[in-house]
Amino acid sequence: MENILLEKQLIERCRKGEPEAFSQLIKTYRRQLYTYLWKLSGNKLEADDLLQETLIKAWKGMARYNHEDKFSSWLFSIAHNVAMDFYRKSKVRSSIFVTDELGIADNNTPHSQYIANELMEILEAVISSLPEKQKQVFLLRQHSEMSFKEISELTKEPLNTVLGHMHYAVEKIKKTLRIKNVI
Amino acid sequence: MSFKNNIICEEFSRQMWLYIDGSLSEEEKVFWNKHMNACSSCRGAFNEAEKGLSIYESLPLEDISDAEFNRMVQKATGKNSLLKRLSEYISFYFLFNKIAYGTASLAFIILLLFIFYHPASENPGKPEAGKTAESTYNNQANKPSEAIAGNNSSVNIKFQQNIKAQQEIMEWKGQKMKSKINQVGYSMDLMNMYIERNSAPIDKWTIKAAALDKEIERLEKEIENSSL
Repeated sequence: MENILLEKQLIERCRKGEPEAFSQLIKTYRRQLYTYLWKLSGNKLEADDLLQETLIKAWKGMARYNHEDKFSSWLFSIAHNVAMDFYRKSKVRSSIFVTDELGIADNNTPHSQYIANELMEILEAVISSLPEKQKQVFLLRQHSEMSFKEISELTKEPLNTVLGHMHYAVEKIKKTLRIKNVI
Repeated sequence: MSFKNNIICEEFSRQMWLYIDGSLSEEEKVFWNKHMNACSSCRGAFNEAEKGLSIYESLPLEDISDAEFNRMVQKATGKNSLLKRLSEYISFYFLFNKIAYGTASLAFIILLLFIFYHPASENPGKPEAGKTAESTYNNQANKPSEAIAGNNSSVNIKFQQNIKAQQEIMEWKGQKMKSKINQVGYSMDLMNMYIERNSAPIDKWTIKAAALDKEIERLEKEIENSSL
């Protein structure tokens, strides 16, 4: 409850044009947002660009945010739309929905600490190989706080279809984990 | 497994996600709990799904450095906005100028159209700068025949064009009158047919026929006069 009130105050301050409030507000969701964009795009460079674009649009759109949706849902909607716009403009399928390619960073980034983790590699490979829609639904479900109904509205697909995407995405992940004897 | 159970299990494979999400009502949760207690397959699928998700959720999240994040926020909010203000000013300046130049160009084009499509006068042009009226006259006088011939030909052309236009107008008027006469004649025919059919009193229609006759005569005279 306190978090919600604090969030509302930060939002009001953002509307008045306080960049510090915006920074504080976004920090809460920064890692989930960045992970979502990274996994969606498949590489750090594009994730950086997508995050930047998301922040720009979120700042400009603060006046239009009306508290009807949760702030996280609103923010992830922007991120999702930014990613989809980027995909449409670039028309290079592999730059966003990479198949069987890991987002390998150089050894100087924090990501390099986990690169040796086999489970991480397995899951990243599976997720990046998922069909477009399944990947979007899975990542949105896991990283945003959006309900399936909200995801259905964002992706403009029926609820049952969204649930189907989630089901098949997780089935594929489970199958891979079973093969690797993780589950 | 029975057909009914297959359908329920298939439905559960979708509803399971709403169950995990916490989006189901209490009644629905009770229903699916009962089903899972009775169906090991669905229970297994549910458990595996939860485990798979928890494995994924246990993985560390990606992140950017604080410095990088702050730089992004500054760029988004325009905090270091000297460059942004300058670019906005330049954009506004060019946009404003585009609108101003566009409007001015449009006004200029309209003015040019008005000037060049305005009926030209027949006065001779003014003398060019540096030349006196006398020199202009002399120049013209030195080539009188050409000037007169030139003027005559343009006047002739205009005269012929006027004549032609008038002829066309008269032909059109004549055609109009002919069609009027035809209409009157047609009305006469209709009237005669009516008389024959209805044996109407002749006097009334005779008067009308006489009036129509006069009208036809008048129109024919008009045509003759206009063709003259």
